[in-house]
Amino acid sequence: MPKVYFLCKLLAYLIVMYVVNTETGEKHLAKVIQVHSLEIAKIDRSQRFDFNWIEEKTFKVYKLVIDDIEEPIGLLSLRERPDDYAIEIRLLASSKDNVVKGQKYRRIAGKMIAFACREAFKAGFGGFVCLKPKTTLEQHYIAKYGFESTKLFLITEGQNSLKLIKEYYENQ
Amino acid sequence: MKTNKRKKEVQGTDFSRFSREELADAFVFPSDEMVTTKEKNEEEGFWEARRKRFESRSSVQQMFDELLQLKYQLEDYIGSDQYEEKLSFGYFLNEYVSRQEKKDKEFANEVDVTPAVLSQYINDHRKPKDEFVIRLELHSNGMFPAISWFKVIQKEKEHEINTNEELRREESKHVKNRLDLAY
Repeated sequence: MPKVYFLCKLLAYLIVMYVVNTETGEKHLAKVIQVHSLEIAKIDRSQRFDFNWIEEKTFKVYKLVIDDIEEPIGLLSLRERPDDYAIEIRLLASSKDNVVKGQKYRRIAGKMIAFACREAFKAGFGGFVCLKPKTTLEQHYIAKYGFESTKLFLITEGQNSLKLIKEYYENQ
Repeated sequence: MKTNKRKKEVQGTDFSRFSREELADAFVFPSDEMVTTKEKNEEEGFWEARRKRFESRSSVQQMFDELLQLKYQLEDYIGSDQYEEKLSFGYFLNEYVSRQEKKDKEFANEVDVTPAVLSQYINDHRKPKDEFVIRLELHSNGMFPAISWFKVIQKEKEHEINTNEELRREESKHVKNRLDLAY
């Protein structure tokens, strides 16, 4: 029995991610869960996030939650493009209380980008994820996440997407 | 609706307070729609190139992508509360072998079991030993850890023990003096 328990504990580290509370150093179990229309409206009304999330209802919206607390700390909107073998990140936001100084949890955007990469492997797109960056931020996405610049999009695929998954799922 | 939008704008974050690096750490901003014909053509050109590149991947790259797809599907399955009879150890093993475009006999040789034993594993007629799942981890160079294979087997066992009424009836005759407490 102890052997089985030990193996199960190990397994948990394989498939979940954690976020670290910057104040306490405590690790929290984090999950990315799809959000449906009614909840998107509720989250939008809460004003805990920037941007108009109602407009994302026709796309796949996900939330990053910790310890099964319903209130998300991050939101992500993805457009699946099966004909192009790609997933496009349309919008991503950390909750207002987790933006820079005073933030409680770190690396929220990275975790959600890594999630998008994982979805792009699962869909059979070779981990291809793209986004249209604000011009002024392009170099930061390239430096931080290893995106490659094309004229219109920043892209990640293959080994770089795998690296992001390892970095944000396995290196907590 | 307009009122709500205005209210949201008023209470939104003042992004100018943050450095570009801080913004990239927290957001991917909504992009502008392609409006001119030139922009739309450029975007279509981008996607056309993407499709061509994907469809002309090398066979090695294609195999790598398909194995990673299987890895994450397996991880999601073992991490979920759902049980699906089809998603057995044999199913995932068969996928692992066939996505490498290997014959069963060839793969059996690579992990040092007989083709007959491999066939029993693939058809779920025999439970794999610990040694075999370790070999699968080593064969995949760590992409499919032994613990993932173990968990698939364990999931089947959990389902079996949860649903085996016949065994409960059979074992009932071996149990005496049961707790007389409501539960």
